Amino acid sequence: MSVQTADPTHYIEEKLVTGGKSYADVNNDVAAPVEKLPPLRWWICFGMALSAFGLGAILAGIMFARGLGVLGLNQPNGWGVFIVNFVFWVGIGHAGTLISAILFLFRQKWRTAINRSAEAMTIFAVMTALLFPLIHTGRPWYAAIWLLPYPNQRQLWVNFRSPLLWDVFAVSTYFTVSAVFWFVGLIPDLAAIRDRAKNPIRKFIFTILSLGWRGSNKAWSHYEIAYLILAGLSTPLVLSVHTIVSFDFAVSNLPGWHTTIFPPYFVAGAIFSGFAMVVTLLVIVREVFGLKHYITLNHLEKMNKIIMATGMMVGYAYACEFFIAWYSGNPFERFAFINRAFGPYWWAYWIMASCNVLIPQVFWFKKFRTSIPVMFVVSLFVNIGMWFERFVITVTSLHRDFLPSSWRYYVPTWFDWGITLGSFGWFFIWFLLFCRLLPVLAMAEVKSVMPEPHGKGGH
Amino acid sequence: MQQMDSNKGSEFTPPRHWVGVEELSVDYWSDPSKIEKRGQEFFDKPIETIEKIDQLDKRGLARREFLTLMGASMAMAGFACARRPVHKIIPYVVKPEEITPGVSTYYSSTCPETGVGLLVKTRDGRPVKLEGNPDDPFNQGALSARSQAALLNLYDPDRLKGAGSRARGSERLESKEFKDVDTEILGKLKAIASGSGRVRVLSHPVMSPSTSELIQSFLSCFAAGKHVAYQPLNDTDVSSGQAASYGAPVLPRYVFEKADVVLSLGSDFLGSYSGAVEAAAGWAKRRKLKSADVSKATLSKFYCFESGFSVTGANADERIPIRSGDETRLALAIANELIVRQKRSSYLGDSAILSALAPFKPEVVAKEVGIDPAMISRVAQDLWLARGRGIVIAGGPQTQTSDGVALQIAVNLLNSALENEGSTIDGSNCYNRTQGSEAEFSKLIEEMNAGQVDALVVWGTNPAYTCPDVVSGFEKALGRVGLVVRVGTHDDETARHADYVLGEHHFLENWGDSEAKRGVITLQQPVIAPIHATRSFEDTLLAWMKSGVITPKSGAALVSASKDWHGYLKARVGQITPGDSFWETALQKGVISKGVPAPSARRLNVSATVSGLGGVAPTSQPGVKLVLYSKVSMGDGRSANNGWLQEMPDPISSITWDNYLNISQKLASQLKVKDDDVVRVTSEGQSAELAVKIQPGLHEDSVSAALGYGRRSGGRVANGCGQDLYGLAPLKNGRRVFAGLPVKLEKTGRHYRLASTQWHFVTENRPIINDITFKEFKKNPAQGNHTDPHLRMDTVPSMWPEHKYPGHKWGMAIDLNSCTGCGACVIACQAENNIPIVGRDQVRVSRQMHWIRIDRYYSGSPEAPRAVFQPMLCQHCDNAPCETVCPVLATVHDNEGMNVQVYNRCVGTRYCQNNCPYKVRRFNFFDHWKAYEGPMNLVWNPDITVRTRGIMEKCTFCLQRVRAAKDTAKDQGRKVKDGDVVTACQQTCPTHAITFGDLNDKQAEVAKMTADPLAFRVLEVTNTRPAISYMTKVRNIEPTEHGHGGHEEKGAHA
Repeated sequence: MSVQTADPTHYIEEKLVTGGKSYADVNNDVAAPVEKLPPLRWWICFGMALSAFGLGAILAGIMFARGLGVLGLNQPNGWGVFIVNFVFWVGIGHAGTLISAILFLFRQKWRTAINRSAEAMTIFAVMTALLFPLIHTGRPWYAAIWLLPYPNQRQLWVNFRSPLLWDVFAVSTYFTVSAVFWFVGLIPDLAAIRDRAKNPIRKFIFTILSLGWRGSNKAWSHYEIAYLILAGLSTPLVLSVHTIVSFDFAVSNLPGWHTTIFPPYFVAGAIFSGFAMVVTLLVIVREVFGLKHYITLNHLEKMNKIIMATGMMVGYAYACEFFIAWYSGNPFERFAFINRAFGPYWWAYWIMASCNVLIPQVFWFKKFRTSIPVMFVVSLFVNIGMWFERFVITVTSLHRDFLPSSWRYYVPTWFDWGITLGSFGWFFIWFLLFCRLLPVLAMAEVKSVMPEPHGKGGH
Repeated sequence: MQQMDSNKGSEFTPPRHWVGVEELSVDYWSDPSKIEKRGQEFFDKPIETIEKIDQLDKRGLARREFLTLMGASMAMAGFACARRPVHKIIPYVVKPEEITPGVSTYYSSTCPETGVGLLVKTRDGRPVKLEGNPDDPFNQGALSARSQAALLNLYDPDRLKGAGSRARGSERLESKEFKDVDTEILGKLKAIASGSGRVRVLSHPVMSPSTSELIQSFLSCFAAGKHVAYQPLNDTDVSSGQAASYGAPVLPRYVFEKADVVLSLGSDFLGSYSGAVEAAAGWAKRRKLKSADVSKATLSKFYCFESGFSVTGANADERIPIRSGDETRLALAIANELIVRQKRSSYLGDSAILSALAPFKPEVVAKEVGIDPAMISRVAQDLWLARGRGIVIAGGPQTQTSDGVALQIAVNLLNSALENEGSTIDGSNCYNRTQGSEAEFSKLIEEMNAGQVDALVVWGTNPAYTCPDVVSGFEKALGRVGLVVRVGTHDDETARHADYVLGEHHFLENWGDSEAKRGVITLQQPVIAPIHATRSFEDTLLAWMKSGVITPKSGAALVSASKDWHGYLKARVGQITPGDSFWETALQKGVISKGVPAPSARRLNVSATVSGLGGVAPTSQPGVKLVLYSKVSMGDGRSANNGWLQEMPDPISSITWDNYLNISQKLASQLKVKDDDVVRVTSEGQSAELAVKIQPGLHEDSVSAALGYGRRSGGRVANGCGQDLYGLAPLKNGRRVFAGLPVKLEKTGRHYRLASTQWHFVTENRPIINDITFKEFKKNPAQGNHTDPHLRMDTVPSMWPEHKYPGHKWGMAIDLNSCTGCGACVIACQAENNIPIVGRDQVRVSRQMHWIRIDRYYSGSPEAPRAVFQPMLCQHCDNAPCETVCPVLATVHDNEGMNVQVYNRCVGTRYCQNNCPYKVRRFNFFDHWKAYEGPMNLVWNPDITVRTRGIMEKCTFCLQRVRAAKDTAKDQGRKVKDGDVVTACQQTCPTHAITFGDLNDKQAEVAKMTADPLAFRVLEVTNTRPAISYMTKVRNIEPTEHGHGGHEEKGAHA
């Protein structure tokens, strides 16, 4: 539906919102789920999420009572599925801020349809991720406090040389900034719902949440500056947080961990997995909430392109690691990588390689990258592959390190899997609540990318 | 004033100053509640409120009070519900002179099982650690793993806690008082004494002269009393062989420190042999090398032919796997080679010997046995060149084949021919462990079956387990004995058949003496009051004899003069040198040496030798042969209820908690079995099912399995651990056969996961182990060092300021050349440092807690591998990778070079464990201490924290011992000197392979060793700068046939 113009260099953007929607339609469509009781499908999903979380919580309770021995950890595998989950969830949490901050700064207007839910996903993913470093410690009741550098009369201090401490700062900063950024973006939409609200309770709650937003020109101009500043603040965090998470591995001296490529490799992987998760969620959300005209195939296709690009970056990193392992001449390093691909955990490596490198290649074809079933399946595979990437990094490096006498296989137990499932439950509880209680699209921003309403029929 | 007027009476004087008008009323001053408050100067609330609250009392709570209570209850909800019980430390009213709370007291004692002298460390009246008595000529301060672990037996919660009686065939043991049991037993004994008086005391070999005498006194109460000693793993073959060759049934002492060439034909003299600690010490003296005196350095040569894979074989320069049962022919082939072929020795002219050796032509035997004939001639040659300075040794269950006595005779012939007899074989200054043969025991069973035994007192030895019905019919025979009294520590297999079960003291609760080596008496004294209501065997006998019901005919005076066993012993030992001080001094020292004659060469009885060798068949039956062996940790199984020993990894297989069938790869392929597959082992009609362990270095026709497992009623730890194999060892002609048993193996299709602590047995060409040959050592001692010279600790510059160690810098040196891998250090460390037992399931998932482990690596071919042991513990690195990654600074470096772990601060991220290249950090996955029941809690060393779950721990270099040494030095007003600090692992090491000390003190032994070119650091390339140096393993073999674990490989240098 592009318009012919005389100037061929003039870029006419494709329509970001289809279906001839008016501003009022946007409000009606987006606010609808907030204003009525959830359908049965939602309750079923919520019930499933709640039971998954309940199972995880019960297992975690048993774990706290009895000790970490219920997990599959051993010597030398000091870290296992919990750390894999931590890195996985932090990685998932990358897409949201990337979409809302970096794409905002680059004036990628198509982001408006997906940024709200992507940011929500980020926050919930980080909330999920934060559970794991805490519960994986032997004494979480102390770890929760002692990793914070607070002044105390015992003159105990934290070790600023430890990457785990950097993690504490990196992830908590990321969480705080993402949450603020998300909330600031929500304010005009919260006010819109407040204004629409007939139910006095809803009106009351949204009045408080919208912080007295009046939508005046002055307010908008301040608001947009604030949003820009926050986008600027968030941007370096997108890079820093996974860089620092990668330091957990890269700073250690374990063959397979001790690698300088880890920061860019981890960031690329995080964006890769984050986008895959966004695609997975949005495919469901646009279907369930009837937002197909706002979250269009066009949006999804763009994301699929990013998935393919980052997937190849990750693939490059895999190859590069092998090259360096050979080129360094370090026999420990060399062994670690051969062992990774052909050792006892070969299966995990090849699951990772095929899910992350091979499968996204289908997106070379427009037919596939615009096919909802294909992209849904591919995004799921990418999620699986990225989980295994972290598994491969964590476990295959640990299980065979320097002294062969201590080499040992690691097998996760039902507690590992149950608590992992619980973390998905926890994530989806929040996400499902978000879908029902807050506008899943940034209404105000979507309107800004729609044709202005003067004159019927549009262009 | 109106109010004042209204007041009754004039006695009321209103206050001069008032705040409120109510004060002017008399009521105000007479109200008791107000009187109470009047004395109060300050109120926490306005007085009106207080009054209001007072008024509200009965109606409920005031708002403020409600809030106070709610706040308090919220706060209290955070506290534990139950108040912690108050434990008061009550000081002594009259403090015993020798006890200072917090300071250890050491007592000398003796372990009666082995006769080794002990120093028992006690804290506040309870023993917490056993150490060898340095004055004991046997062990010179060292202890084996089993002796170390004897401490835990004291606190075994399954010990008998008193006496009881049992109806025949019943499971239930009815608890009774000792006096009631005595009355019942004495009633029966009285009838027996007046009748035929056929009383038997069946015991383990008694090395105590005083106890022996007491037993004789007891038996003299009866007309036909007799003492029978029995234990399953005895050295009767050796003593019978000695008797045949030299006339007297002795157990000779092997003087390893004088031996240039050692030939072992299946003897496990460094491992399960009863005198292993002494033998290992002597052997190691000839294995120590220093680069400084490289020109005059010597190294003994050790050949080992064996059918199993023992610790001893693993330490041999050349170990040749043979089939079980071929030892005797091999010994005779070597003798043939020496005397007939090489025409050497004084027996050359002896035609009887020549004709006896004639059938055993070296090449014929070599072919049949499957070895290189050149090996036989080389062994004979080397032994001859070192004649008078060599040892040929055989013995132990591994050589207890059907012609085991002939093997001993052949060995004696070799030693005499090689002039070792009287030089390295000491037949006079010898061991006193000759009792306990199957011959006497078989006779006892015959008598029991014939109804010729009226009463049997079984003390200690446990034949119902070690010699079960299928072998001996002992259990059935017990049914034919009128009175069976069991004196023991556990309600074990034998106790199940007894009428009366009398709980016995642990040896640390009892007096005693021991003459394990001729002329050396070691004293045993109690170091703790009996924990349970038990009574020693000796006191039992004394109580019976002093009751007046039975009267001894011999030694009666001593019995009646002694109040109890202590008195008896004191009186008896005191006879050696009269005088009060003797006893006190002897107890302090623990050892009384009576002096022994110098060894002299005994003459070989040629005719007895020839006739003893007559029965040896020149060829053997083909087929797979089973050898049953005894493990370093488990022995004969008497301590199977000891978790430390059960969890001690086997030096060779690293497997804990179970026994298993060792088979070669070739046989495994034939049977189509893999590790952990269960096979049925059938030998002469008896069978057992065992999981398979594919063991490199086994002869393809030899399979081996350990004894001492599969206890039926050994206690809650012992029961269900492994399979009982005593039933497979037949009792033939008064001899027990443990080896060379023809065996049939069948795959069952079942699996059983063995709990091993090591799964990967090759070094992957990594710079972990350095080994060189003796010739290479002579050329250049530093040749073995794998580490690229550019990457060595002393050449790599540091980018950062290094740690400063102004005072001490603690370090360790471990000599791989003398470490035998026996594992004594593992148990010593476990006892010293409160290391918990984790159990089989936890070992299966690799969560063992040992702070020191013995890594074992192989090199060479899987058919004939060379093994090397490497004790691995925290390396206390200068650049410790664990220290930088701990987020809470729970592991830090101290200014004496130690890497210290702060348990209280640890939150358990396990990052340090991941980052440790040596993987020596141990994480507490559970609260293992909770499994320590009842008196087991007393075993904890109060110097060390008992760790809770969720925290990391590791070797501390025995920080507490460093502290103690510093305190002692300070008290004495001097500096800590070399040798003051002795770590637990170092203390118990029989071969002194571990040296600890101050690296800043250049004169210290450890500093000299560290500077030796033989010393290398493990994974030096990682620049961790460990404080532990290992001394290169030097093998006395030809360099040509030797690959150095691949250090030529270029890749290993990075």
